Amino acid sequence: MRTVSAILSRKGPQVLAIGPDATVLDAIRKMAEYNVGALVVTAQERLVGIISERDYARKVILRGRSSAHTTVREIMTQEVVTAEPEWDMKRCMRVMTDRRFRHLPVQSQGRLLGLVSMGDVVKAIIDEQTFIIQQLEQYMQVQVH
Amino acid sequence: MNTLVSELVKRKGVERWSIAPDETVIQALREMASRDCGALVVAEENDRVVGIFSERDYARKIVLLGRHSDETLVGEIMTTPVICAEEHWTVEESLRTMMEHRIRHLPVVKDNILLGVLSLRDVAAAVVEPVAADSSI
Repeated sequence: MRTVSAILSRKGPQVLAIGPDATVLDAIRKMAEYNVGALVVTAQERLVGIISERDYARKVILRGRSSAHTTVREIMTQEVVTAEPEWDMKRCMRVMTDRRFRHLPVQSQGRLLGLVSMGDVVKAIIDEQTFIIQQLEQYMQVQVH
Repeated sequence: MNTLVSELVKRKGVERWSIAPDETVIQALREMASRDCGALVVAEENDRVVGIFSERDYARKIVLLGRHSDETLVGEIMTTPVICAEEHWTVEESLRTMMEHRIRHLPVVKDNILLGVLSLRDVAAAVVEPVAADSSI
């Protein structure tokens, strides 16, 4: 089964990150610019949290804050569950569904390697299933003819 | 894999989270928070689906476009037309549609009347779990 590191190598080495002292407005702009739903929050290249559209929708206006005057640190999710590069898709999916996360930062020995989304994981699983089905179909044809 | 979306909707309960297009965006955010969901189907009084409003719409089309959530109506920034699944679709077809269009929520309709809403999590769990279990044998 495909691993997290295979997904990361397909996505490229770029990790979309923002600092904890940036404003929420900056974070929202960056998400829009890169068309993503979450950013990892890093300080001195260490993972300190994650900020998502969910955090923005729940913790800013509904709590009387404004995006220009609130820092990322104030609304980010600090207790982040991370994945290891050798995890397979099944394990990622289980963690995401059980814990209700759509994004998993990937770390190895304290070093941040990237971020995988539920969409990335589902796509990898579907691609693999399609590949297996094609292989089976070819095999069946060989057997029949 | 061949489970029908109508069965998933039944299993999930008959909740049909929707909001009217003339509600304000802030009201939609309150409803999403109280129901702990990331999107609401936008439907008219007769349950006819006219769009979908998600955290994505909020994050992209309010502050970045100089709007205010208490003055903007859901109908102004909702995503429309919305991609829906018909009740007779399989879970697999639905998942492929969601991936192809990069969407996280899929309303299930019959004759454009809302039956329920499936999230990527609901659909992925239904498709992935049986296969994941097989591959571990």
